[in-house]
Amino acid sequence: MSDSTPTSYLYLRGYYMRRYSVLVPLLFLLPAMGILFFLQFFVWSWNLNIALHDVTLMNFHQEWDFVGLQNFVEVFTDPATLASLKNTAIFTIGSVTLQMFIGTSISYFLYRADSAVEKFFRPIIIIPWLSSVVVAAFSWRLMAAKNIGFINRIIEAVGLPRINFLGNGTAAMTLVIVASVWWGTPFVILLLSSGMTSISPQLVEVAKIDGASEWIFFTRVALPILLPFLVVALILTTVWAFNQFSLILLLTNGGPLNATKVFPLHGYQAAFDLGEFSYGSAVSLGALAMNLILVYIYIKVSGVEFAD
Amino acid sequence: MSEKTTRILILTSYALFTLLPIYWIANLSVQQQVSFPPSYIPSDLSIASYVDLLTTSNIVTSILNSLMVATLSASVSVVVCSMAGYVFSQLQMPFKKFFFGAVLITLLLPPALNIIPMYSVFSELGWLNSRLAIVFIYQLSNMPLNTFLFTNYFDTVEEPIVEAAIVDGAGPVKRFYRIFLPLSKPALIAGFLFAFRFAWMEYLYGATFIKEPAKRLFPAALKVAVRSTQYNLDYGVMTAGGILLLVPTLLILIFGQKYLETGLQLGGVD
Repeated sequence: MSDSTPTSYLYLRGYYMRRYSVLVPLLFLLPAMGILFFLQFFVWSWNLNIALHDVTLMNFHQEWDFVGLQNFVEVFTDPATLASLKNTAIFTIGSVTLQMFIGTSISYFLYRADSAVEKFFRPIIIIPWLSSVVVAAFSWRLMAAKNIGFINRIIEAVGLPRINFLGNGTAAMTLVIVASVWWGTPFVILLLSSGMTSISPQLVEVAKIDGASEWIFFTRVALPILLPFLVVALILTTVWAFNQFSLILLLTNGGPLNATKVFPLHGYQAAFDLGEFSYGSAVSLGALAMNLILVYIYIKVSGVEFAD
Repeated sequence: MSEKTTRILILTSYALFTLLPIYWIANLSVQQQVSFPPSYIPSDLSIASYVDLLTTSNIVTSILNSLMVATLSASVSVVVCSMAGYVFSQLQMPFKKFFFGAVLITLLLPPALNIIPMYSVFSELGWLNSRLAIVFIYQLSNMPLNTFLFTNYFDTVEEPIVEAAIVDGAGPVKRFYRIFLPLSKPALIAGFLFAFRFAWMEYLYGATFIKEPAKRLFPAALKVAVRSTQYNLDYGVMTAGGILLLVPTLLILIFGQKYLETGLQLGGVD
């Protein structure tokens, strides 16, 4: 800035800088917040609006009758809801346990492997993360198909009778859990791998000199360091497994006989297959409430602050 | 058995678990006539399934639709999220943490649950069957990861550079496009790839909101093509389609692995 700059100019510039300090951040945040508030907060309140009225395919574009909490009563006294909640519990616990167990082991083995080995396996392991839910569903559908499935091909080669995965409730539930583990574990590995980098190589050396076995090192040194990452991974996989339904929709469509119909799928099908939009909205608000409990735990655990 | 061998054995078995389903559809997709039981390795290589798929009505159109939607939504996401990340990382404003928290919560509230009210609102606005509306929805899904990515990346820009720019009289807007954007090529590429990947792969919104055959996105069009009759699945379309759907994201992995990894580290929620 040259000396000849008139003071009035300096004054003006200072003035605009001060104005900018609120205006610029606001303008820069505007697109993101516009999207967020319209698609998230407005849409969720619209969800409540639908749930409190009687909205079906019939009156979708007409006047809606206000019915208060009747839809919620209907949803939570429906035996189909309770059955779907039970399925959600089985699916979530099964999928999350396996994802966490496999994800932790594999990311640890990747961390301990030589760098050439790690470089070889890492891109392979990430592939399901790059697969559309449609790819995941199609390939597992064909892995498990009765006549042309790989799994039944092996079972037959061993001399056992073939399994009709889509005709047996337990087998179908096992199939959707395995497919969801296949699809979801790479993210757990990616998340935990960034945690592994905070275990310093010197610790490994020290442990070796002290004669600690691999298991002792893993449980006494690695796990405590990884704990915060494990908690984040656990909460994220739980939330995502709880809300997962597109994979199940494509793989079994909730069948056979609703054996894999999870809670969110129950709501989706009520709305888009049966035209019961209010019922579906009440289900998704129920799911939201359950999610918020998990979100609350997440915030408490991760220590994010919301106030300035 | 040494620890090293055990490690490699375990990693190999997991890699096989990862590759097997993909291998299986690839194997079935190149067999002209799938025998019963099917062979483990294709005996004759045939592209008949792929020809069938690409000559199915609207499949090529749907691939183009998906490429367009993915490119556009990735471009928009990079602009929107880099701007937001710039504020979170570099600027001061009231309620900043509140806004950041709002983005964070989106990560934990799967948008798939608000598909019913969204359908209702979009239907009132006449936005059903609109590819642009889908691009708009994808912005919400991409926001958490990409905003964290840019926030964390901008955090790594050295303070002296920023201070020098302030002394030189560069305002916040100028600093953004003269310093932060040019320094952030890896983050811009990673953010673009993340958003492209998401849009190319997404099924649920595309399938629920677009019913007009000529406007369908590839994953949804594939699902429709597979169900040619109520009880028979078209295995040729299913396997060839699955492989084609995987190709662009595999290309991203092959050519962009470096960016994906930096991006994931920065966008990670840790």
